[in-house]
Amino acid sequence: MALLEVKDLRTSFHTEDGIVGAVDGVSFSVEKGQTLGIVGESGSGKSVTCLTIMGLNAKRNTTSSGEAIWKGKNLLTTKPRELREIRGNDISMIFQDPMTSLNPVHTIGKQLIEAVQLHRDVSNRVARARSLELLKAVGIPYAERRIDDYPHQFSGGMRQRVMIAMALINDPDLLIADEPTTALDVTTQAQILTLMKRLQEEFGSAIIIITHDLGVVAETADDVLVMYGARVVEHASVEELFNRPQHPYTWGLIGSLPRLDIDVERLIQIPGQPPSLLRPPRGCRFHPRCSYVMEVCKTTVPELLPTQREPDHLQACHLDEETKDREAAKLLESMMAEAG
Amino acid sequence: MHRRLWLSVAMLVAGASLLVAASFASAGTASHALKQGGIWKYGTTGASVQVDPQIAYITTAWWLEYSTAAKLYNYPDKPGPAGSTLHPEVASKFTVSKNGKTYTFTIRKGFKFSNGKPVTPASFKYAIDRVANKGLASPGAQFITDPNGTNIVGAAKVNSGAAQHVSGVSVKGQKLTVHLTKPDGTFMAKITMPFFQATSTALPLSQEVVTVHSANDLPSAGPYTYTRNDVNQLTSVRRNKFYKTGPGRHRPHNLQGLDVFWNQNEATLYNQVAANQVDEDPVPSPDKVQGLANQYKVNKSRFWAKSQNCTGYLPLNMSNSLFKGNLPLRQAVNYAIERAPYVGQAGPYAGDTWTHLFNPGVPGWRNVSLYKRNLATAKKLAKGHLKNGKITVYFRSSGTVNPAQAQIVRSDLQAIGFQSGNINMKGFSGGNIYTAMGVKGNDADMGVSMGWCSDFPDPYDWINVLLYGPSIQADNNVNYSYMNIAKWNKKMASAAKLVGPKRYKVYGQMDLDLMKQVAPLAATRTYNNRYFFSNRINPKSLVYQGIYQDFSIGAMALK
Amino acid sequence: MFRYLIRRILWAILLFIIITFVTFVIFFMGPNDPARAQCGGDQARPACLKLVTEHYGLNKPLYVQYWRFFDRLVVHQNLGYSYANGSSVNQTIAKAAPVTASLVFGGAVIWMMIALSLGVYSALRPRSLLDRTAMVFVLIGISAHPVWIGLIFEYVFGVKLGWTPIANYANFFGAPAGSGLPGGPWQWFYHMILPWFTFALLFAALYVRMVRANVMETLNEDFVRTARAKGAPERRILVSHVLRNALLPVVTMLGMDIGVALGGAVFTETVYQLPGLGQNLVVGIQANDFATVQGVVVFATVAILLFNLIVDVLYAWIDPRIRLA
Repeated sequence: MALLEVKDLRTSFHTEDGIVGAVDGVSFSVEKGQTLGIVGESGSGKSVTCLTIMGLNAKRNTTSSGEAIWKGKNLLTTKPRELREIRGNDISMIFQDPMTSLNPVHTIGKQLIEAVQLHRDVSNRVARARSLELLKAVGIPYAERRIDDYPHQFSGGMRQRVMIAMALINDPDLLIADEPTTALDVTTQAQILTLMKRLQEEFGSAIIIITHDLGVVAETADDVLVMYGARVVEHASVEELFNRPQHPYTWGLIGSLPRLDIDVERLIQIPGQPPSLLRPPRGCRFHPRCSYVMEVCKTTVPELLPTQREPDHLQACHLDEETKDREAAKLLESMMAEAG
Repeated sequence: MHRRLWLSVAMLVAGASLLVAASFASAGTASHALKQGGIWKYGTTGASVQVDPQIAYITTAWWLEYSTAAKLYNYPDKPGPAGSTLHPEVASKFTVSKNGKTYTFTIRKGFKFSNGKPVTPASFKYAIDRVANKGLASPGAQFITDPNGTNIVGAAKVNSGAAQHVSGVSVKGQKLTVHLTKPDGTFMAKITMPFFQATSTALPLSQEVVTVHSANDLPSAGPYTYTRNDVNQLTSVRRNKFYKTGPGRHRPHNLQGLDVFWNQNEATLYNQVAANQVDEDPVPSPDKVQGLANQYKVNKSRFWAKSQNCTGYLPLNMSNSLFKGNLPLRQAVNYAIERAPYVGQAGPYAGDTWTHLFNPGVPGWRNVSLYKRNLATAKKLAKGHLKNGKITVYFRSSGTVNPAQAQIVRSDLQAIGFQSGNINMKGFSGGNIYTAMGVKGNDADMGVSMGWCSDFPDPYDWINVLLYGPSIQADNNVNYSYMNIAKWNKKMASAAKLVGPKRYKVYGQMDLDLMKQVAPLAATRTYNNRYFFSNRINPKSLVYQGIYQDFSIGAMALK
Repeated sequence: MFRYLIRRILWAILLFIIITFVTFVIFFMGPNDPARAQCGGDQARPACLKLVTEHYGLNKPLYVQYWRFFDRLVVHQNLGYSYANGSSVNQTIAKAAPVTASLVFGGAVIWMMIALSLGVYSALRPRSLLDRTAMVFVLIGISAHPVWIGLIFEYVFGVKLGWTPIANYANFFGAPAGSGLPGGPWQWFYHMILPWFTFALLFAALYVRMVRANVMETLNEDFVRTARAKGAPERRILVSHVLRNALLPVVTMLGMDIGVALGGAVFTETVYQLPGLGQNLVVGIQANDFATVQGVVVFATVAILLFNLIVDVLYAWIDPRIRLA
């Protein structure tokens, strides 16, 4: 049985200009100890999906529907009080910007201890010991001394380590990492990802990693969910996705992968702008930017269907599978050639 | 307007013997029916006054001093003429030497200061020493060191700092002897000023007493004494517990005491009196007065209006080119001023319109109206006499009444031919207009909202003080008209020498002649004090003391 | 921090000299004659004016008078004696300062209480009925003059309802001996209620908006989301995470506004007849009593400079980013 099962999740925000459908019918599941990567551009709905699961969207002017089943409970209908007990205990979360995600007026020790004591009835001393243990685990040097420092005394990478420590402090079953490395420099990114992988093995948590960077997914994820315009466009295991990508948007993402071995200027960018979720395009939401666009794409929404070869590989594109395989092969070949 | 008092010189010129003849038969009888005790709460918008007897000088200060002081001779707590007659108080009698230069007072026993110490002749000598003291800088010094007027032997020497004790004052047994440098008919009036009250040696010789926390801090020998003085907050007087009825000690003292709250807000104070939380508001705002008069009648229960010995006028500067030698224009101004609305600005019962200097409080006054408003006459007079057509008018910018009066004068000036652009209005806050107009050679052609109150009930204080040319000096002048006409100077000087009814008759006529033939100013109005009382006070106890121009504290009583 | 303090103190001294000198110059530029106050006002006689002028050295050149004042202040800590009533200005201020302090600090407590409760509540429920009511309150508070508010309060609560005294001050430490006036802590509180609210209204109004905006802004901060993700209850988030951060700028403003508020105290003191610094200032100005005016200015300047210094230090203490910088 899946640890978390999300079915037909929909979230919309009511703004002065109209209704923004930020998440539109997303379904997926996360298995115990596994890592799910959610990839997409900004505004594709990947963060909102997770915030909705966590119940962290602003209550005002937001409506959600669908299900997020966690240990037999639908998180979307769970009472706030019960949800609070799950948050930070069973499911915890780390955020994109470590510079602003920690409270500047409290020491990190205080913030870690708070995380423990919110869920465990333990003394300050015990909570502090646990905090120290985690700080050491995430590789903060001189943790005993630094535990009483304030966030602004740490570098970005160190703060993200603190955030990770805080997220793992209660042994969560699921860790949601929302762009955990985006704000960090490349070297630190690698360190953080390695750390997360190591800790996953150590703590056995499942992870949902939200990113716009397929490279991060390639390094960490078991399964990948590609989102575009509030919808899932492709869902596959990481090997399957990189070997047989089935959606022109995924191709674009793979094509734009930054790599150290090629010239930056030659990066292939996906032309055009992400769709407006206030007035999304009819039919396939990617069609205005798609170089394979057909008439059907402009009118009919493609369904998320399994490919013929691999039933666990879901994709939502009107192109026939033969064309898709051919184009994917072409893309991968050209990339190999460049790399080679 | 601050008022300051200087006591009746003229009365004494008539002869000291008259005073001594007065009886005490009726003294103290009025108090039987009145409630004894209680604290009267008095609020005022005015600033704190000085309490040191040798420093206290302005009206409110002397009103309080009147209740605390024991003097050689004093005025009874009675309304009308009875209140203006001197009676022996601490002195049982006095004698004057044949040459008129030596006064000897016999001091009674039995008067005591509020600290229990007896009053002796030395208590009066100490008062004179303090008044003359250089370091203390008493405003009373001018009254005993004047080379042309009252001058006690040795006082000038002390005042210059060369001595500590006034040599002309000596004490022997119960006798107090004062030597003057020359005979002086005004001496008794001056020695009756609160400066010269029995003064305890507990007061430092050359340092003002300001803070008072008990009856021992500023001992006085009158029926009341200061028990508290917090500057600009609270001043309290309470019964002097050592003041026991006896020879010379007949003054009423119904109240346990009086608390004065300084610097009160006009509107708030009114509310407090209306709610009977404060007993007396001597400054109800003009817009409330009519309502009070309608509700309570005048001088019956809670609203009272009492006339002051003051006249309001617009001085016309005869030393500047516009009004210099320009009688027609000065008369034109007199005809042009609309006096009724001018007085009306101050609200109902503020006073009456007036066209000459002497108000009904000045001996010799005539009940006439010299200048009825007549624009046609005014225009005719002014025609061809506007000089260059420019006029500079000083006015008082504080409050609402003064600027409104300035507006009235301005439009009246326009009515006689001054162009609006040629009228230069200069505003002065508070009493600063007097300082500015007092500088010889200032650029004012006329001043608005100015006035004069009697220092002592004698016409000299009006005509000779305000219009006598030779007294003009560089600054601090009070002859704001800068009138200096030889013929009139001579008339004034000779009138000053007159005594008795003739003095008043001559001055009364001179007032009218001056206003008609010289018109150095345009008289505008008389003044009233207006009072609003709480329902706690007994209106029957209100005795308006003419010399101090306020209700006697000793006579006041609560219900 | 130490260097910073030294710099602040040097600045304060310079500012102090400038302010006192400017007050001096302004006063002597006008056609004021301080001697007149002591000589019977409108009808002062020349002899008296001359006497008093010499007594106080008013005929000396401006710089001599300023030097005398400065020397006396620095060497003897003496602000001199009132031109109008001869009282020691030191004593006047010693009596007036507690009154003004009662008003300003009591008022500040009330204005912060109003601002915090209304501001936080309306930030948590924007556009609610209470938020809109608070907006009306803000408009009234900002537009209405304290004297007007004071008179309305006096009339309604003092005269009509009789719930409070109409005006006047009651000493916290008991009434002055032999005066029969009310005194003691309760009477003090009872007499100060209306002045406090009158004084607090304007700033409460300004601060409601400020607190509301700050709280709303802080609620959107990432660390608040972190706290929620940790599973912290809303109440704890508000108290421990939002308020402390949202109130940092409010503390700075409070430090600056206490000085401004001291000016507003003039009106409240006048209308409620509180014998504080403001009232002494007004009376001093009316009476041309320069010694008192200058005394109040000097004291207020020092108090404001000192207060700003305290707030700066306090701010550093509550905001670790500044403390350790």
